[in-house]
Parts: sequence; structure tokens; C-alpha cells
Amino acid sequence: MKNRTAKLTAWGVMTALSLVLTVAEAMIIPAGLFPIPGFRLGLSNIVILISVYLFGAIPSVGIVLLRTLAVFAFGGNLSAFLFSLCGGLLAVFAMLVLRQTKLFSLFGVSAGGAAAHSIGQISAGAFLTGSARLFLYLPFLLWASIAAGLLIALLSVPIYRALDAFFKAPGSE
Amino acid sequence: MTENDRPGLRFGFRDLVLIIALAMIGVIPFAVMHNMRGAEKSARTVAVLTIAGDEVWRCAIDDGMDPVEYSADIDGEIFTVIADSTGARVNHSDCPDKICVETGTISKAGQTVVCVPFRAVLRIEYADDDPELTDVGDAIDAISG
Repeated sequence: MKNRTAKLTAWGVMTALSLVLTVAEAMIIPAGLFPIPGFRLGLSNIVILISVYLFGAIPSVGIVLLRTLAVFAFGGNLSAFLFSLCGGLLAVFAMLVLRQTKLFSLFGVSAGGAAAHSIGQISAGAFLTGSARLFLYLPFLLWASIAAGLLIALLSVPIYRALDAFFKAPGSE
Repeated sequence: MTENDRPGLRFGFRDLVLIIALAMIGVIPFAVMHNMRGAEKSARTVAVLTIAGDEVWRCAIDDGMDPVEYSADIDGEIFTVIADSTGARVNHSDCPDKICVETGTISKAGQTVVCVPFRAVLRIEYADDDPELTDVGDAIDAISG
């Protein structure tokens, strides 16, 4: 896919998808469903993971930034925004680095991103509350996130295969 | 579109190693806090409330005590905690999801209720403890974002 318009369209669609998945997840899965406060499945990370593989660094970071800003603009509060921003950016950077090493599969990359997301969230929380004790909560969030990251990778594999084939098809250039 | 090599789509041994390494990171805070623990502890505990890192309230927890209430006005929003002989709890909070209120009463040293929107931390610690060095048994019980 070399056409500039096609690229921008693909990035735009992915951004919209990531936003929709964030909002849909918040509506469908109640906040108290999981016994770990602050934990979310992070379905929109399917989009980020696939973007890391298909589009590379700049569009992936762009999608994270736009999604976070849009969720904030549609009625988020400032602390949730800081949480999402720290977690989301750390996650995408971790995924890009792990992807670049070519040592790990999509599963390792996704789990690494999820772990980085937890660390970012807790760091933002510790900064906001001024209490380093928040890091004591890290193991629970971290382990749950790694499990969620593996699930996200499992869901992403068929989508990645389909999109990769679509973008490489003769008509998509 | 950048041309990428087809990535590994199957879970492999290196992924497992990475995941184990990442999971171990979670243990670090416990190890650090345990090493920092003071050796001697008194049996008496106190409830401590901090907002944005500043201690705003401290109340000893004693058997048979009458409930003691403290309300903080945080930018016009009300955050109320109560300490009694069973421990301490967040009684009321104007925060969006009220996870801090739903957490209920905490009673053991090291237990903590966190309300992130209000940057509030309610914790129980030993009466003669350095604030940052309490037992971390089952530390943080709630985080509300």
C-alpha cells in the first residue's frame, strides 16, 4: 500500500476502531466485573498491536494519542486521561521495541505491551497520589494484564492475517 | 505501508521467558518494602489519611472507641472517612465510581484504600511506625480511577 490517501484512510479507520472498542468495552463490560480494580481487558489494544506490525512506529503512537485525547474529550476525567496516556504510550513503545528485536512472537510483544501499560498506570497513580505504596498493587495488575495481553494476541492473530493479506493484495496499492 | 517480515504468530519459548521475566517485576515492590520494614512493631494501629501526598488526618484505632469522622473538602467535593474500633473506611466520596467506598473497612497495618480521582490514600499503620515502612501483607485493596 504505497498510496498516501490509502495509508491515511487505513490509519483513520484504525483510529476510529480503537476508539469504538474502548467505548464499547466500557459499555459492555462493567467496571466491577473483574476483581482487580483499575483492570481492563483493553480490546482496543488489538488495533494498536496490529498497527505496530502493519504500519510501524509513528502511526501506532498517533493512534494511541488520538484515542486517548478523544476518550478524554468525550467525557473522561483528568486522572483517567493521565492514566491512559502514561499506560498507552509506554505500552506502544514497549511493543515497538519488542517487535524491533524480532525475538518474540505477537504473543510476547502483546504481553510486553500489557505489562508496560500496568507499570505506566501505577506510575501515574503514584505520581497523582504522591504515594509510592501504589506500587504494592503492581503485581496484581501486572499479572492480570499479562493474561489479558495474551488473550489480545490470540484475538489479533486472525485479524492480522486477514489485514496483512488485504494490504498486500494487488488491488490495494 | 512499511514492508514487514511476516511476524511469528505462534507462542514460542522466548515468549514464555519474557512473560516469566515480566511477571517477576511485580514481585520487586514487595521485596523492597519488606526489606525496609522496621523490626519492632507495637500492636496498636492508627488510621492515616493523605491527600496529594500530604498527611491531613491521623487517628488511633482503639478497642471500644467511639467512631471518629473526618471530612475533607477537595475542590468542592466531599471525601469522608470514619475510624472506629473495627478499623477505618471511606464513608462517603463524591468521586465518579466510588470504589473506595465499596472497599469497606480496613483494619490491618499495611492495608490501604486509594481514591485516585481525589489523590487520597487511607491507610492503617502501626502506631510507632515510620509512615512508609509498614507491613505490606495484603497491601492495597482498592484503586479508583
